[in-house]
Amino acid sequence: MLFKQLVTRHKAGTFFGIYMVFCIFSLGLSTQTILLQPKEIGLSLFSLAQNGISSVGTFFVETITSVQTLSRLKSDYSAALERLKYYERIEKQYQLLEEENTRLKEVLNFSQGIEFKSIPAKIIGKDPENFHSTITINMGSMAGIEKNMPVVAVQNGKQGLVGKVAGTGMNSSVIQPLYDPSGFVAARLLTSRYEGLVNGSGEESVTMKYVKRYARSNIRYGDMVITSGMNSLYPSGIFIGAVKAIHAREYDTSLELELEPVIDFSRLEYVFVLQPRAAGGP
Amino acid sequence: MHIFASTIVVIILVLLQTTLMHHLAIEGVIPDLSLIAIVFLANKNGKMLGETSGFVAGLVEDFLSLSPLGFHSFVKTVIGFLFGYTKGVVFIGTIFMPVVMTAAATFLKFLLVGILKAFFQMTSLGLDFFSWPTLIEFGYNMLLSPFIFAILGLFKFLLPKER
Repeated sequence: MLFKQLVTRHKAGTFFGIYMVFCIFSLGLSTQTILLQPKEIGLSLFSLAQNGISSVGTFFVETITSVQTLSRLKSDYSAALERLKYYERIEKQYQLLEEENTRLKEVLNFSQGIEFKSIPAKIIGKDPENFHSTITINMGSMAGIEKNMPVVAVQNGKQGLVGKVAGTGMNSSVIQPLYDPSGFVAARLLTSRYEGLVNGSGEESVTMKYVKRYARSNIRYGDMVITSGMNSLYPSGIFIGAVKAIHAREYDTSLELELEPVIDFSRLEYVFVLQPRAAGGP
Repeated sequence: MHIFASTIVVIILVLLQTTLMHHLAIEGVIPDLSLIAIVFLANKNGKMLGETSGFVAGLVEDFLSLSPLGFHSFVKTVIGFLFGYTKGVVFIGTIFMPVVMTAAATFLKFLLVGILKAFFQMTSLGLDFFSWPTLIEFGYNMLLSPFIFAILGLFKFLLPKER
């Protein structure tokens, strides 16, 4: 009776207590990554509404920009015709090279490597706050997406690494982008082949750490960095970025390379989630 | 009904933050619309509604971000609860008080985030109190607060019934 009176009198305080207990309890569990299910359910529910708002927003933005697009299309069309002729010539050369390459692979018994199936997805949202840098896409576990699958995108004709799947709902997934400070990718310099670890710095830029100090003379500005495939998460050979600065501190035994990501995240609209093909699959 | 309507409003604002507000980001920084709304709702309706709308807004943010479940909900519940004490004490005008209260709420948000970061050892959290993104968010929130307060004030169902 006394308890009931106390609760009625201090309704706000009681609810505040309940909310706090919930927050602290779930924080404690979440930071140890035990509690996953409620977050995934919540993501599924609210991403539906997020998808709707994103679609409405995209409709208005696309309507406004369509007028500009029409005028640009005309000039693009004539340019495209020229390029088509050029590519027709290239295609013939490519076919010849492909045949030669297949023959050489057979001769060398070259491994085809791990094949990946890609699931295209549209970006429908980003992080609600400025503390993290997540991207939400419109495909989830129903499309076969699972946690930790690598995510890539194609920009300017190059396939670049976007990040990995951090969580999935039924029809949406949250991606942890490459530039998130908690993300690490095993990487390699394309030309000199030195290895390192790429880590995000939170502001759409990434750093390659733990590169051997003696590699300094072999690294040039603009050198491309690719995934090394040293861990099972990311397949090898995906472009990450180009070297834009080299830091060699006197007290440090390794180099730190600042990279310009291949992917311009501010222009990113569509991504591909890489799904390893099942053995004997298509 | 009153709490239900308020929570719907803050959920819509969080969803706007994740979608359309990214088109209006300054240097990649988006304003915290739900925070401004929580301050408004708490000031007008008191602790109960402030903390509940804060809790719901934070929970939705937790679902849609990389943060651990309970992170944003903790921060926004505390803000909603504390700003509930301003009901009947602080009377908000058109510009000055909304700006001051939003600045205080933003400061409190960063303070609470800092505490949680230290307490739960969330080293990956991108928080630097004296960085440009933090200052931009401060400015952006303060700039938008009079407008958000004015817009929310138009909805009678968000205000307490006059006796």
